[in-house]
Amino acid sequence: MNNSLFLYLSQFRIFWIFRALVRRFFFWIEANLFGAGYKIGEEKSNLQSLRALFQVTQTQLFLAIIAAIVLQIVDPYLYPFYEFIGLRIPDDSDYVTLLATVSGIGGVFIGLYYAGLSTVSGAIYSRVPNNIRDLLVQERIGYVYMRYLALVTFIGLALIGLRILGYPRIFLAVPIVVLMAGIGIIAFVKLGQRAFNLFDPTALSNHIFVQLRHWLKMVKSGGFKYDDPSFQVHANKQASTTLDALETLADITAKEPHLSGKPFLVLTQYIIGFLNHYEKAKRFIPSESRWYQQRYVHRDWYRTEESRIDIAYKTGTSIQPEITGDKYWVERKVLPIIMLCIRVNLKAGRYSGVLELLGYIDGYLKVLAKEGWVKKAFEVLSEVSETVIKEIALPEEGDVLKTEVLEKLALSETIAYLPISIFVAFSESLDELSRGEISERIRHIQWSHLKDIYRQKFPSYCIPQLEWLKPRLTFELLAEGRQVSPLWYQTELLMQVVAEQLVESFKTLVSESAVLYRQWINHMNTARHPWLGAAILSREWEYWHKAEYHLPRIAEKWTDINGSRYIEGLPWPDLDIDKLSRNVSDNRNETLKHMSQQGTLLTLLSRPNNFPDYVGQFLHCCGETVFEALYEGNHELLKAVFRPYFVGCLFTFDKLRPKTVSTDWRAQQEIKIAAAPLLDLMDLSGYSYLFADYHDKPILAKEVTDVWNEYLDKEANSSSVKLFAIAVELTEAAFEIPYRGILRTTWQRKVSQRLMDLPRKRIYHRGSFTSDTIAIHKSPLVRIFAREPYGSFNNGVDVFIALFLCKRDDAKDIEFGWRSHELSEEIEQAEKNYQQLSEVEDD
Amino acid sequence: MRVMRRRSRPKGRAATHFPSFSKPDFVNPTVHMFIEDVHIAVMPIGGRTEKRTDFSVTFQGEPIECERAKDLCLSLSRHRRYSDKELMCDVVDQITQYLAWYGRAVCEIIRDTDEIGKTYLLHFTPQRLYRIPGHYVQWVPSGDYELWKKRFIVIPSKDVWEISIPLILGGASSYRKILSGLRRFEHLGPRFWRGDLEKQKLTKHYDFMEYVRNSEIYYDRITQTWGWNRRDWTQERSTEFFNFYRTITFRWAQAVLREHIIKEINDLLVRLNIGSMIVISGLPTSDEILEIRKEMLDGRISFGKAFDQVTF
Repeated sequence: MNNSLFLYLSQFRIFWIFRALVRRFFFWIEANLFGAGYKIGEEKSNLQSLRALFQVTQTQLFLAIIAAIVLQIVDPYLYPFYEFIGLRIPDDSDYVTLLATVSGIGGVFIGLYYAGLSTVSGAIYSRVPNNIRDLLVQERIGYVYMRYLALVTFIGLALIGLRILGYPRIFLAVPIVVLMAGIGIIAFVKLGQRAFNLFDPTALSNHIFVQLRHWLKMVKSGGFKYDDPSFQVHANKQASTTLDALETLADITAKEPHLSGKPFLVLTQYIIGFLNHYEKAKRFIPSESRWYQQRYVHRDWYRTEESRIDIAYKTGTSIQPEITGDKYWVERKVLPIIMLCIRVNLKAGRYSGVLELLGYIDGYLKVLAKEGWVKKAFEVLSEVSETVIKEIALPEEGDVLKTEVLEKLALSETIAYLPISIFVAFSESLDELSRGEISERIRHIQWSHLKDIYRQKFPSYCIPQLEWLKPRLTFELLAEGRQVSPLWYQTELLMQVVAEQLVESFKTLVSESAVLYRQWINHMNTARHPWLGAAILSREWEYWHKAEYHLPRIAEKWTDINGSRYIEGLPWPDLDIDKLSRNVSDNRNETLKHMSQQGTLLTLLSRPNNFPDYVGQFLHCCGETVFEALYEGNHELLKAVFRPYFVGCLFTFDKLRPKTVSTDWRAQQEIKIAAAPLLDLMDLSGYSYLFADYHDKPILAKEVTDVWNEYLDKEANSSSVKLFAIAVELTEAAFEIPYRGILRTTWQRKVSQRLMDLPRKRIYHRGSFTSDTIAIHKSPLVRIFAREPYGSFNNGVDVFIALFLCKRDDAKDIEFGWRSHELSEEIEQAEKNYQQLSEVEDD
Repeated sequence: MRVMRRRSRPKGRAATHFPSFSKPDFVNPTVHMFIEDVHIAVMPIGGRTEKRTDFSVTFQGEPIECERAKDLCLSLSRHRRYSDKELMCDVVDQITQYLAWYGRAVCEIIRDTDEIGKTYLLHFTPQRLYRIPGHYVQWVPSGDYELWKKRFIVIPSKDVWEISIPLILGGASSYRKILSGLRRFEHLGPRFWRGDLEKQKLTKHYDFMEYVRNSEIYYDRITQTWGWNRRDWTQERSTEFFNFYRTITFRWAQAVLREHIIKEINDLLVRLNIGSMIVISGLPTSDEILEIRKEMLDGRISFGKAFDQVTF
């Protein structure tokens, strides 16, 4: 209606009354249309069930028809035979008899079906509330079959009635009625088989989910009267009632031992399936829809528009509160069912079932993350993990649990993998969130169109902002005849919401995950389940590794979203990418510290063959961290990691070495493999000298040598030192790449690269045109390793032997190979050369 | 600085006002706000502006001619003034106020018989004023007969100076339509509802929010050329951008009005053979404001900066 005309008419009371009447009338029509539509939908569904009924009976039906046709064809040829054996061709009265028989059969079947239902009802459903019994009655196949059987029964009776009234026989009725009776009889057999399913109430849950999807479809944009609050409230009430039935069904299922296993797990899978569907559907539900249960938010008097204040003041009332919807009311109702299912099944030891269920939960968390609800995903994860971990890691009295049920290990790993799933899913969803992409989608919105904001498939957290914009841009259209607020302004307002959501997600991914992992590991260790703790630590390490990998992508996305902003003073969330990066790095280092401690603990336990080698993994990671700490000159990290690493290396050597003495090449090979952790340890210890000089932090080398001295002094004999000499000799003697030699070469290469950035001075060789450069550093060791063009042929092991082991009293008579001797000489020579060079320069 | 004193009000032929038309009862608040907003700050109030330090008013021409022009302007001002800036700000404000109420303003040109060459302007009401060839005719309402002692007052056209709302803003008739349009509906609700509210009675079926929204669309639509924002800075029904856009458009309308008034006064000076011209500089011109609005639309300038550049 034209705006002026509306205002003109609105001055009269009668206009509002008439308008209300018209609206009521249309509401009545729409309500009836809705009812009719619902019934049509029901009938359509019933017809589909009937078709399904025909489908399951078609083979028998086809065979029966073939048989009848064959008989019909053969029948005339058999007349002489009938006469010969004395058979009589049926007369007209048989027509009525046949129909009566069919009706009789129908009646009997109806009776039998309900008798069966009563039996099931008496056995299973006698102690359940009405809403569950309703499910039995609403079981669609049975309902349709009963209706069909009633029809067949009555047709027979109706035809008999007509015949008795004197109407002629309907010849066509005979084959039709026989055919229908045939379907009824064959279907009864199929239905009988289904009747056993009725003993399982969860089999009836299909009706619940059909209902939920139906009401959800109604409140989605494009659904029938989706924007009408009355219809929204109706859908909410119906769905709420249906969810109550689901809760009751879950309670019953959980209490019955024979139902709490597979049936309950299947029911929960259906629930998660529905939740996945529901999360995606939220993009299409208006945020103010009454589908979401209502909550009041009270307004501020001095921030409210004058007209509202005027009314409140004149009527002596308070300002009408703002109404917001509870977006998670469905989840609040169904998530406890999932937790109950997990609890019940874990208590019963059905680990594999729960493992399968966690797979479904993983899918749901991914959907949440992709929709941008990372915080919500972590809330759900926290709830799930608490339930699982409490059940699988019950506190043990006394010593630590030396072994675990393999499924428990799998459960721990799966739970610990869920944050990774969330991270990866969220990271994938970032592609859709560029400023250009969002601007392009906004450009396609026709703001005057009621449903258009939902068609562009924005993430559901964008919907309230779009809904806020919509009436304002429509206002502009009506007041100015065109849209005034430009595209960049609309984009910026939406980007503000996107930025807020992203910042919350980024922070959650870094902080919440760290908190969760800590909680889980602490629980496992407090409950004395080290293997489960190790499983979680192993996944946590993967998590931070992935987080570091995805950080540049996050930074890039943030630059895109944060860049080229137009509106000054628009509240914009703050994100310090460097701080985020530091947090990830800190968390990673914290994980490594825990890994080193957990690894030490696990070395005391023997690993079952079917368990992953967490000790090996942790030790290797710790080795890399020791190198990283030396490389970066991070004393704190070195202090935290080196001692456990030292212990771990010695334990691993002890575990890997052959327990019997033999000269067999296999035994020698075993010794070479066992020596690898010792060589790693010596290599890193040697680099501690180099990096202590490089960073001018002697404490780095001291930290390492203190641990060594403590160990060797405690042993107080030369055999311990000899062990390390043998390890070196084994690798130097053989013309082969030692075990893990390539990994150690990587450290050596990194050292060379690091020393490349030292300042250099060119030196010409005496009597020659050739020249070389020398690194400017006060440490001869650093200068040797920084030598051109290939660096040093020495590695950390040589340094360690030359500067530490050889200098110990208990190692005087032990031969460590030629390279370490050469290095000692090289160091002395380098010192002299450098002094000479300094003197020449001084002159 | 000399104090410009206004002479005692000269006497003219026209009936300056019709008291019987004045309505002491309820004045529509929306109309009142609009009229007030139109004339406030067309020029810096009292000639004072902190932002526009280069703002100046100049009477160009021979000193004696400038004096004649100032005397003419002084006859329209309300108070004694110390400077040209104060004088012209007051004069433009006064004329804008007349225009804001009726869409046009009329003044009788009175030539001083005592001091040869001095001319004054006397504002009179444009109500019941009709133009016939060569003359203006005032039809005095019966209620005011006692005051003016005449039924009709005839004034020659040469003795009348008339100024209207510029055509770019729709002209006088369009302006009066805006006023009557604003008067037509109450912002807060229809009469029956307000009556119910006073009686603390709940009106069934009436949708307050829908009414207010429609009335606001209506007000914005009829004042679209002016860009009046109804003094509404909330974002209850519009975006922040739209609010600034309307505000800047309103400043543009005021600049157009100011430029139009100065031009009309200069034309009058020419008509009265006064060899002086008034030049105002240092205030944002209508073209400059349109350029600022365009920059804001393109996102090249912030809202705050745009607003800052159009105000004084």
